[in-house]
Amino acid sequence: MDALIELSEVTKRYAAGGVPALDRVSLAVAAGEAVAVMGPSGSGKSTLLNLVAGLDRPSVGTVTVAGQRVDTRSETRLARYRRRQVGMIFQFFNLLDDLSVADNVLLPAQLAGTPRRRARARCAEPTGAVDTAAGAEIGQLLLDLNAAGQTLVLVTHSPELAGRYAKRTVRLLDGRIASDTFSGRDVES
Amino acid sequence: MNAVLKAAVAGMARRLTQTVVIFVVLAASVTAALVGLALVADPALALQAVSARYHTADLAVTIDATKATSAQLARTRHLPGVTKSVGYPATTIDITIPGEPGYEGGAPVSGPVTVVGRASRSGPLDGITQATGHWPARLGEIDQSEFSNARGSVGDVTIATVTSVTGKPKLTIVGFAFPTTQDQTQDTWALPGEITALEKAGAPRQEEMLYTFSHASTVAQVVADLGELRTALPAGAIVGYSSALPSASQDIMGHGIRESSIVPYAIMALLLAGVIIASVAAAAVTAGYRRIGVLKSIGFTPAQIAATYLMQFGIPALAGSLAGTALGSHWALPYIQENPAYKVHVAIPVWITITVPAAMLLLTGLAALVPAVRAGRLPAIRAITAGQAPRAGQGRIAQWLAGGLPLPRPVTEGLAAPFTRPSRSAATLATLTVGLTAAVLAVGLGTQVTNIVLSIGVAYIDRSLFERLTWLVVVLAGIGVFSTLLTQARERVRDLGIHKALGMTPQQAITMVLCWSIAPAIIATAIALPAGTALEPVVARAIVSAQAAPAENMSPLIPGRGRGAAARNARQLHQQQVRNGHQPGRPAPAMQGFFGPLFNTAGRSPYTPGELVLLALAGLAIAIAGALGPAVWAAGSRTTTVLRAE
Repeated sequence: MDALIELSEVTKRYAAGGVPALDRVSLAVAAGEAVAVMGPSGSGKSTLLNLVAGLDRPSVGTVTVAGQRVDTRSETRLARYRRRQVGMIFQFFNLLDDLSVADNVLLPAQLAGTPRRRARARCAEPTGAVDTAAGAEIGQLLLDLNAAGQTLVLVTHSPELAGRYAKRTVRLLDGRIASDTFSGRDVES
Repeated sequence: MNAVLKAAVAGMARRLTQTVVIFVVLAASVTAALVGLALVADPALALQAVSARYHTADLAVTIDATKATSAQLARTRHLPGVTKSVGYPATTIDITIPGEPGYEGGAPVSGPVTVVGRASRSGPLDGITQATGHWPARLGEIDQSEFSNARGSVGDVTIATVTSVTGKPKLTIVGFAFPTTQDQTQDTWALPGEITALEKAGAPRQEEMLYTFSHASTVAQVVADLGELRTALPAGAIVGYSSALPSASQDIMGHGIRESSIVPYAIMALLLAGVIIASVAAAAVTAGYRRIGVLKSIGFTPAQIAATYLMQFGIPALAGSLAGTALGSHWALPYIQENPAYKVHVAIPVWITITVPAAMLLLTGLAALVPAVRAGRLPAIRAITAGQAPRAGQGRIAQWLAGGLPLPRPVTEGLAAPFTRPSRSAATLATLTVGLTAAVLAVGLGTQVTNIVLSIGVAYIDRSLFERLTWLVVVLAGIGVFSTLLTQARERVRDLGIHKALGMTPQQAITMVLCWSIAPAIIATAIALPAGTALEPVVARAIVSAQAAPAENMSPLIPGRGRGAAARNARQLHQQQVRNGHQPGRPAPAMQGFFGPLFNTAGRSPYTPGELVLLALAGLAIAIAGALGPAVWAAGSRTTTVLRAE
């Protein structure tokens, strides 16, 4: 299986000599997979997502997405990578208060130079309910996108949500992968 | 270390940029204020003090020695009002100097000159300064006054022919010099023996008498002194006279106008400093709410919180004030002492070096007091939980409107951003408006004052201080913009992080932050340009009114000459200079009714169209320059840190 996302021996330290947030983690996610990342607070879940999204760089190791190294890119290339290839939903939403919800959604396309009207038209295509979706509807949207081939990596504390949206669950503990199961069975590394 | 001081020092280190901004702002504003006050309070401006410092006679009088006996001349030395006197042999002759290409149109120069026989330049009552060439070393050589109306040119043409005596002898011009004041009775100098030779050839026998009087500080006093001399001498004996009062008063007026014009710069710098410090202080408290909450939680009282913030601003303010005092003294002193007539050492009064920094510290304290007290009164839990609370709804209309413009998204977001943070934007706008108005006023005032002072007759004005203070004001405005925009960038760091997470490149982040300053810059320019250009003549006229209006009418002291034609020439020249109002390099002999022309000069616009265009663009330049630092900081800020993903 060709991995879309691949972390190889990744270690991330926020302070020199400090406890690593991720410790020699190797993980491969195939294109179209839906993976839930679970673990207690401080286990490294957000750090892992930040590395995949190019929001941060590993201290050691490599991060590869679609065959291209992410960890060595410049800030400008990382920004373009995020606006074109990565969609993010933050734990604390992180919406821009000065913009409407629609403008928040349109922003990546507009940063790429797409005029507002064309960006609106594109966003309206997949589903007409995006403006009023909430909760389960957002979840259903994610499932629909995954079914259409989008790769999904989500962080959750809830085993129920993990089971609903993902077939594969990676558990982190103290910065290391404690378990990696696919529908309850261990994934071969 | 005291807990409050410890907290203040820690706060200063944590907000190093803010600390440096306060230091620089105080240093710059104290410099400007000290220079302005020191120059206005310049003790040498007092006429009496200046008179004592000028090495010159109060009156120079040319006397027809055929009408007054030696005894009568000697008696004038002991008149009740006379304190000192000295006499030199003199004569008045007509000379012709051949034309020189490039000088006076190449036409020959002719006219009467009074030649005074002196062995050397310095005398008991006056000193003559050699400008070019040298003092006569032998008979046949003359040294001409720079103020002479029949003046040759040392260099190619140096021979003057005496046309009013037998034999038409030739005299060699070996140099040009000028007396301390514009003494028009001494046109030319030669060795005493030359006077004897000219008299033998038929030149009139005259005596050049110099007097100082116990009272010669006003026109009335000098007129009375002259009257005393006329009474003591036979009628018609006095054929010419020159008073030091017009040129001394002219010099003082020129200095007074020049030095008073520094005051507006000082006021502008103080205004800017007040605006900037108030903005920095308010932002520091708002940004430090969480820190305030923590301090309260561990036991700081409201008074201690207020004291912490007052010290956090006060310590860099004190350091800045001291630095500004040193720098201001360094700038002001050479400016005061530049006039070679001031032969005494002039120091900046101690009260100025204490008052100015103390006043600026007080201003800082007042500007910081309100936010510091507010910080102290904030309930602890509110302070801890208060933060960058969402302000839903603010500025969305502006964002929506800007989003419809055919411009890149970072530009439209940046243009609309000021409307989403009205109070912060108001601080940026206030700083830019005050700073740009100050720059417009400073540029115009510098040119205007130069025109006014030169039209009075001060031959040279050093514009370097004007230029330095203008740049100081402009830099202060830039610092103000930098400070307010950096505060905005820090407050919006979460939004910046989201933008970057969604794909905004560092270059786009820089563009967006730079655009934060554009709308305020345009509004500030629209206000400042007309305000500054309208204010300039008001300020210039106020300066002239303060300095020139009280000046005495010197017309009773206009120098006269021995012969009718010469006297007419002198008066015509004087009137022409007054009408022209501006004669660079050619001093006006007196200031008859000078206030009117000066007032009119002050009311004319000194701005060229090119300058107005540049000033209009200056606002944008200041805004972008001030925004660059915060923009680069925004581009480099760590996305993961600010987003607090978990």
